[in-house]
Amino acid sequence: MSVILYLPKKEKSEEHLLRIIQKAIPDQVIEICSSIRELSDRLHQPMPDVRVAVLYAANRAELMEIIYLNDLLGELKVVLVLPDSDPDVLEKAYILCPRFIAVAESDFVHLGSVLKKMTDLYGKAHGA
Amino acid sequence: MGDVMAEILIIDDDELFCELLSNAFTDDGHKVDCAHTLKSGLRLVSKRYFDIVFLDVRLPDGNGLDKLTEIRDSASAPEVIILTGAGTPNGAELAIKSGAWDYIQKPSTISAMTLPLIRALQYREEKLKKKPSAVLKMEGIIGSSSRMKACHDLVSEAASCDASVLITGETGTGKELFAKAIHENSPRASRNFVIVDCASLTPSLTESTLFGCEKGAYTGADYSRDGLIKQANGGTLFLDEIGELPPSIQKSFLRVLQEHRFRSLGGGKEIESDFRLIAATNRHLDQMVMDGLFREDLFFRIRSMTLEVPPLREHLNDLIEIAAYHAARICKRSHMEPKKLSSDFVEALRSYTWPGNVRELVNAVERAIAAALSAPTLFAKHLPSAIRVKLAQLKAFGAMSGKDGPDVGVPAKLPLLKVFREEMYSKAEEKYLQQLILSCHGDISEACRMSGLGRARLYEILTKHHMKLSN
Repeated sequence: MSVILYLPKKEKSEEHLLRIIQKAIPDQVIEICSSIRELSDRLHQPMPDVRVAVLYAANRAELMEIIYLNDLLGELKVVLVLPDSDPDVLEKAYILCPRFIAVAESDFVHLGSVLKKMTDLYGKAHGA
Repeated sequence: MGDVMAEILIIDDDELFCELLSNAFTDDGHKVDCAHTLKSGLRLVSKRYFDIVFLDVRLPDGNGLDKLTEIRDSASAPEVIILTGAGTPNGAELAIKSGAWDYIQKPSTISAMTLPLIRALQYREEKLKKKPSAVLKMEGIIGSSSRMKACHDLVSEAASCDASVLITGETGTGKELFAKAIHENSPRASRNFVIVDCASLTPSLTESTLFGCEKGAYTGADYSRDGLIKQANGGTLFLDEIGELPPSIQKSFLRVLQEHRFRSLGGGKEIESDFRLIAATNRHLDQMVMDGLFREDLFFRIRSMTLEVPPLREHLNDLIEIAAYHAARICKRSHMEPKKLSSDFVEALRSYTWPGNVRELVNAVERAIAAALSAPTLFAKHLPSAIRVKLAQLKAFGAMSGKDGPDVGVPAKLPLLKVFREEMYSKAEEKYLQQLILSCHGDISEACRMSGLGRARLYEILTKHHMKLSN
């Protein structure tokens, strides 16, 4: 099973998230997209082995860009990282029906444990 | 019987019983037809209008339950009342789940037969009078079989009220899509649809995720955050895999459901949230209640309405429509020309058992499209190898156990009908068990779930056929 990871920049927080994810799911293929264009291109390709997408929205504009790709995310379980937890950001985020939300200021430990359980769970599903 | 005049069909090989029932219903002013074989009954159903069909289970040419869906899906969509002389609780369950109106065990008095008829006719009259509701938004929910139509009706009903809904169904049946459909067709559609993935959260994380926490409330609470219950205020809270909710949280959550008020972890102030609850599970919550793993009071509270999403094998009429829909969607998403489904591809899809349900089917179609590359048509060889191997095994078993169809020619001496019927029934049962063993990979729980049988009964039947699950 593969996980799509949208990680636009490689700054301190993003680097930390990547390390946490690599540690949490060492046996899974992580397909990293570092721009919205790359993410869009990847989501237009066949995804028979992809079940989960972790999407890091560094700011509100980026969150809106991700929302524009919502139709392509249909079959994927979405884990979101948001710039903050303001109600208006959350309201937008729920359009993507995320299974888990973390904010950029967190230590991502919970995100790692959730991702591990999700990949175990959905990777086991038939045909995955 | 009131002023409802009905067209009734009785499919039963017991001619005397048919005559008695037919006379009683005719005296009440109904028009009654009888068929003594499944084949002749199906022929009548396909050509004529019927309000009600009384359907025997054991017929000389097959099991009535196997054709229940076909009868319900016929043009007049009749209500079906199952009749049997050998009723079992599992048979009753299957009949009702397959959309039968009622299930009557013979021998039974004529008056006992009449009551379900009156009720079925009242229900049908009201159903036919009901004005068509506004078109439902049913994103990704495909299928027009009677089972799916029944689900659509329940979505419509659930969307028009604010009661808690419990969605049950096996993994991969699309429970989340139904939850979304209820939300999107409800007055809460403009507010948040908040998912709690109970199976992916640890117990401590479930609590803080649901209720929220203040900074420093526990080790690792490095910032204050609202819980999902609060974020669902005005909208819908969807608890996916609610059967995984830890017992300690079941208790707190029950209180929230009763009062719609709660406190965040480490917070002193009560928070209000007006949310609508939809829960989903692939587990048997009633059994979990009996085993002390799920609170009975919470179970009753969350299932004001229940929507049971059928496994794909119970609405196979929809299979090709679902496959074609997703093939077109995936091709469009991947900027490919739409691909045709060859007859051998369709045949392969129809022959497979789909234990992973619609999710497995969609995945198989996606893999087939990836394997076909630019080829304009999907063939069986494009399907994942695991599916093709299983199909080959099923075919080999079919060849070993002979064909289903009747033999051509007349044997020198015909056996008694009873003996012949029992022999055919036994052969069919054996063939079913062979397929079940293959599909469940020796997993007894899975075999029970797929067959709808209890462990004891399944072992009993396996022993009768000298078979083991590990065959």
